[in-house]
Amino acid sequence: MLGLGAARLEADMNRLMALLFHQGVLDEQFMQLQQLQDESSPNFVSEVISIYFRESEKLLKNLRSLLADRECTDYTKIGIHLNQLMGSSSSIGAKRVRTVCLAFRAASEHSNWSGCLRLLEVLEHEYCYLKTKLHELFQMEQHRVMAAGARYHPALS
Amino acid sequence: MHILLHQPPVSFYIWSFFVLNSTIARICFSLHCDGGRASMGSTGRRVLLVEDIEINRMVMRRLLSDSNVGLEEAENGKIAVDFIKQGRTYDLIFMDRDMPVMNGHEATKQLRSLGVTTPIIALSSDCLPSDRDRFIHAGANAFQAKPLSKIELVRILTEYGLNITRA
Repeated sequence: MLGLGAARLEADMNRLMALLFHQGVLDEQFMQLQQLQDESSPNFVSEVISIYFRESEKLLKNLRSLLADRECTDYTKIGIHLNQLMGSSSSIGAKRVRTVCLAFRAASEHSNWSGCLRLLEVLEHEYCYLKTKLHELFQMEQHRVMAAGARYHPALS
Repeated sequence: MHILLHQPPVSFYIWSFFVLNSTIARICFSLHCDGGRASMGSTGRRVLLVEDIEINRMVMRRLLSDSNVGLEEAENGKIAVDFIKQGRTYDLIFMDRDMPVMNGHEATKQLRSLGVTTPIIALSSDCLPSDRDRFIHAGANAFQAKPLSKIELVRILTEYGLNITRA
């Protein structure tokens, strides 16, 4: 039976998840990811998300560097990086990040440098928000496991 | 009697031994390198996932872990084509669209030109009709939006005769 602390943390986690879904930050793919986690693979979600953060930060850095010089912008490479970021964002349910990537890709296909720069800023902002919220979620999970000794299964309906 | 011995990968290599029966013994060595990776299912059915994004490969690995299907992975189309040229065979191929070195369209075309008749399921996070048409024209059997859910994966495996879940 969950202790009071664990129950409260679980309620907080459910509220945070509900908020992130309501804001469109996450979609049902994140739930699918959580459903793939079980006793045989207890850290699956955090492993996937860690790799997502690592790879996304490399891609964002590359995008920033590709847009550094207006005259020499390689829009093909920008498109490649965006496809990668879109693909991985879809896989973890990072809906808003993916949506911004789509708009960014459209700007790059039109060689719209100022549009790309503006969308890169939006993308960086969305990514930071996602990362902050997922870190919060994982910290709550860690505390909850310590309090109750059982893994989190989302109660989001 | 089929005995499948599986050793976990060491560095970039994995060895597979197939012993068919007491009077005929056949040993096949499967050598992986350059981003190849394999797990062998107990039924001997094999799926090849051609996908450059590590997260997507992790998710597919996890999705297939409950089935009796073995999974091999190739990080781009060229590695997939090289696997076929090495003599490897598969019961199903999942082919991503956008990959470095060789993309999914080109890899599909090359596999078909090599005489590969294995069903190829194209995967893409874009679902434009032109994208689907291009893949089908290249020789893919079907087109599926990414990310693939468990339900969709089971449907595809069932459709192509691979859906055998572990007891």
